[in-house]
Amino acid sequence: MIKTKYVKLDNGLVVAFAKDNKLHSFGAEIFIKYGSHHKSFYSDGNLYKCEDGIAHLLEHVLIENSPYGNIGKYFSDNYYSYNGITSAEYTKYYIFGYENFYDNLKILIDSINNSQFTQEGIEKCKGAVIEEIGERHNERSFKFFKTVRESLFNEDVAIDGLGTVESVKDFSYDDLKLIYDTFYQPDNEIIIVYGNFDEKKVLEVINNCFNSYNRTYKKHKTKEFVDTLDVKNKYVEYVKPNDMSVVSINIKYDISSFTKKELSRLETYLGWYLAYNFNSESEFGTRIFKERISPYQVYTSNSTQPYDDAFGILTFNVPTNECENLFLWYLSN
Amino acid sequence: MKLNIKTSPKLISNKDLKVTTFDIMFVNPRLEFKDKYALEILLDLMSMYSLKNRTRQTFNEANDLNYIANYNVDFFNKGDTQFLTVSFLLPMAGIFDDFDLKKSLKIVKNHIFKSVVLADDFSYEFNLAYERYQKKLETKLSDPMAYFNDFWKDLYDFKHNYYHTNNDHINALKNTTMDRVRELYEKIILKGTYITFIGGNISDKTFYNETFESIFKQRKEVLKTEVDYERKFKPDWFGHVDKKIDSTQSIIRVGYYKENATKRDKYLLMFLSCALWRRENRILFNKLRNENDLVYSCSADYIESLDTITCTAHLSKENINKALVLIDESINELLDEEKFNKAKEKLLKADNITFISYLDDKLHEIKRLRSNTFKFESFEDEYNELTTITYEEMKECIESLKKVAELIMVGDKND
Repeated sequence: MIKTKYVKLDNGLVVAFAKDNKLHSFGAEIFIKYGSHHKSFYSDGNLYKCEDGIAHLLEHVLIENSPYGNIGKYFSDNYYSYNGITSAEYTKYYIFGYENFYDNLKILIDSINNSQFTQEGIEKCKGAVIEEIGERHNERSFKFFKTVRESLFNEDVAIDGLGTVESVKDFSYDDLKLIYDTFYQPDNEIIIVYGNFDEKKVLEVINNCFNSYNRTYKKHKTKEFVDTLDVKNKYVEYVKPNDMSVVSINIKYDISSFTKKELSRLETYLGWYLAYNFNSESEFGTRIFKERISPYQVYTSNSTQPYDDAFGILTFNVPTNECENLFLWYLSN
Repeated sequence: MKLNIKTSPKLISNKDLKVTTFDIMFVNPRLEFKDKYALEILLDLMSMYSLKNRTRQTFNEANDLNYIANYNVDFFNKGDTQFLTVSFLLPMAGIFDDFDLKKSLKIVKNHIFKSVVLADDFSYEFNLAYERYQKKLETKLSDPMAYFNDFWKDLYDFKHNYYHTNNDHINALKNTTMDRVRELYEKIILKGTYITFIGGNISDKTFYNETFESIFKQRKEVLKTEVDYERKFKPDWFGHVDKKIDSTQSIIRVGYYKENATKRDKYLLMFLSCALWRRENRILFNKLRNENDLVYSCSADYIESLDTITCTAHLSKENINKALVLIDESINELLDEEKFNKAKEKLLKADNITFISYLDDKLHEIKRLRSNTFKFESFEDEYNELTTITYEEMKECIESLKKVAELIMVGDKND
C-alpha cells in the first residue's frame, strides 16, 4: 500500500505526496477549495453573490490565459494529459505524464496561481463555454436533473455548475478577478503529487513558485447555506420524452451537526444500506426478477459532497406501476 | 488471416498481480446482420442468469465466497470472423489462503456452458432482454446522429454486408426469436471453437495437467478467415444534406474519402486522423477550439472499412460556415512539409511514451499475448509502419482525398 504524506507549508498550502518508485510516470493535481455551489461568499468581509457558472468560466479562463499561453495546448504539445474540472465543492487542475515533471509542475502552478487574464481573454473563452452549455442542455437527462434540483433547493445552491448562456455572457473581468484574488491563494489550496518523484525537488519547485508571485490576496470565507430542510416543491411532474417512467424519490437530510469523520462514515454506511437493501443482488432486487415484477432495477444514490456541511440527498428512481409498492414496503421496513 | 489455436490454453504467470484473469474466447464465422440482436440478447442472458438458478444468485454466492470477482461478456468482429469473449477476474490468488482456483473454474465452466437458454422455457428472461433492446433502439434512433446510419448507406456502394440502415436495425430486432437465441448459443458456445487464456498469479504449468485440462477440454482446430471490406464510392454522388433538428445546437460532419485505398494508404489515413485529433497534435481541436472558441468539443474519426475520415463538431448555427472552412484547412494542414515533419515527430514520440506507459500496466502482458495469438496487427507493427511514412506520400494522399459528404444539421430551438 502506498502511504500518503502531508506537508503544510508556511503560506498555508497543503502538499500531499503519494510516492511509488516502481512507476515511470508522474502526476500532480491542484485543488482550489472553491466550486460551483459557492455562489455567496465573503471577500475582505463584504458579502457577494454570483449567478451560476462563474467558477467554471474562471477555470476555462485560467487554462487559456496562462503566462505560457493556452496550457491545455501546451501540455498536449508536451505529451502530458491535462484538464480542469469544476465540481460543486472545488475546482481541480491536473497533469499526468512521463518526462520533465518538475518543469511541467512549475508551469501548472504558475498558470493557476499567477494568471494575468484580461477582459479580452475572458470574452474569447466565453465562446467555448457557451457551446459546452449547449451540449449539456441538449443531453437527454439534463432537464430531469434540473427539475429535481430546482425542487430540492432554494436559490443559494447552484442548479447547474455550467450556468446559463445569459449568466456566462454577463460575467465581467471584475467578477472573475474578485473570485481569483479571494479563493486562488495558497491557504485555500491543496497540491497532490504522485508517481516516481523526488519529494525535495517538488517542494523546491512549489516554494520557488509561490515566493516569486507578487499578488495581493483577499480574505476569504464561504457563506453558510440559507436553505432549510424543507424542499421547494414536494411533488413535481416532469415528462421525459422517449424514456421510461420513474418515480424519483429524493430525501433531503440534515448533516450540519456531523464532523468530517462522521460524514465520511455516514456515506459508507448509507452506501452499504443502499446496496444491501436495493441493488440487484439484494432480497428486493432478487424478488423483482424472481417474481417477475419489473425488468428494471431501482436506481439509488447518496450524495453529501455537493452540499457539504448542510444537506445530504438520498435518491431512489423507481420504475412506475411495477415495483413501487414493493419498494415502498422495503423502504419503510 | 489464419488462426492457429493448437497451442491453447495460454498461460502467463506474473507474481506481481494480485488477481487471476481467465478469458475464454469463442472464434466463429461472423454472423449475418439479421442475427445482431439475437446475439446481443444471448450475451445479456449469459451475463445475467444461469440454468441452475434463474437469477444472478448462484453467481453472487460465488462472489461472496471469493471465487469470482467480476466477469464480462463481449464480442467484436474482425473481417469475416467473430470473437466472443467471456472474461473473468478471479480474486485473491496469493492473498487469501483459502482461495480455490479449481472451484472457481468449475463455477466459471457451469456459468458458460449451462446457460439459462438451455431451459425448456426462458421466455420471461428473453422478453425482459428484448424489451431492454427495444428501448435502447428507440433511444438510439431518436438521436439526430442516427441519421448518419442511412446516410453512409446512400453514399457508398457496399459489396459487403456490414453497414446497415435504421430500418435494418428495426427489422433485425423484430425478427429475433427465442429459438434463434438458443440456436446461436448451441452453435457458438456449445459447438464452436474456443481458446483460453489464464494470467496472473498462477504458480506453474503443473496447474494445467492437474486442474485446467480436467475442467476445460479443448476443442483444437485450425480456422481460416478472410478480411473483406470491399466497397466502392458512388462517384457522381456528393452527399450534401441540410436538415433541421430538434436541438439548441447544430451538428456538422464532413467526410473525406480515399479512392482505391491500398494497405499503405490505410496507414496514411490513420496517421492523418491521429494528427487531427490525438492529444499531441490535435490540429482540428486547435483550429476550432483553441484558436477560435467555436466549439466545446469536436472529433475526427478514421472509418477503416470506408477509407474515409470524418470530422464532426457541435456548435452554434451562426458558426457553421466558419467551421466548415476551418475543417478543410485542418485536413490540408499537413501539405506544409514543416508541419508534416513536426506532426510526425510528435506522433512517434507520443507512441514511444505509450510504450513506456505499458511498463506501468501490469495486465498489458496478457492483452499483448491475446492480440499476438490472433495475429492482429499489433501496436508495434503500426508503429513501424508509421515511422516510414514520408511527406511525399502524405501529400499525394491528402491531394487525392475527395470531400464526399457535408452534413449540416441545424438546431435552432430556444434553450
